[in-house]
Amino acid sequence: MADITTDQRFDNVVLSITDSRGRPAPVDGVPVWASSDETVLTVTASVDGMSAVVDSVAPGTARVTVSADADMGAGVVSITGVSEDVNVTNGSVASVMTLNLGAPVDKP
Amino acid sequence: MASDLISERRDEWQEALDDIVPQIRGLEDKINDALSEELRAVLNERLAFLKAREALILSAIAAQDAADAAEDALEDHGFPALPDMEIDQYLLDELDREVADNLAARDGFAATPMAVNLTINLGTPVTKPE
Repeated sequence: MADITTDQRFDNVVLSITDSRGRPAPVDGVPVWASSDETVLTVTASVDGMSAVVDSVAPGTARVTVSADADMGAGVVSITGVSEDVNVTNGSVASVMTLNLGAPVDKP
Repeated sequence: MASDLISERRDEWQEALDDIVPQIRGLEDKINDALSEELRAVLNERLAFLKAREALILSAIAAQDAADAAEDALEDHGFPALPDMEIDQYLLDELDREVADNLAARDGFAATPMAVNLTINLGTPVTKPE
């Protein structure tokens, strides 16, 4: 689980695509990114689909998913990746105000 | 065993033909007699049915004959044996060289790795820009 506040975001989420032996592998077309809950997280993918910015929206838990076509030919073999859960909590919204009265002095 | 079944089926078809053909002849004769239109219509309907059956049986028999002929031809060709063809050694050597060249050419290729894993690295959260 990754923790993030509503003041924060992941500004360089990177996608790694590998074959069964862990070697880098190509996919057909641009990977498609999504958020499991856009009221909690939004995802903005790069043009090539290999990275994204993930913004927090409101407290809650959501995940980022990416799907792509592994078949470089005419067919379609869909593969999907899912991030760890992202737990969003409230950020630095002022919730406590402290008044410092200072030291008392004699009235003039 | 299979040929016995085929023979039985062939006999069954032939018996059916022997039964149908006289019926067709009789109906064709009868239709030429003075009949009510209603009876003529009934006889014509029956005649059409029997002729259709006759045509189908003849078609099945013809197909069976063709299959028998093809099977005979296959056996005459030596099936199922598939013997090697003997050729002169120098020709076999040439063929071996050709095959070796093809294998050598193939060595220059490798399959493109097929993606099976998508891993998402979120990285470290940062404060949103103002």
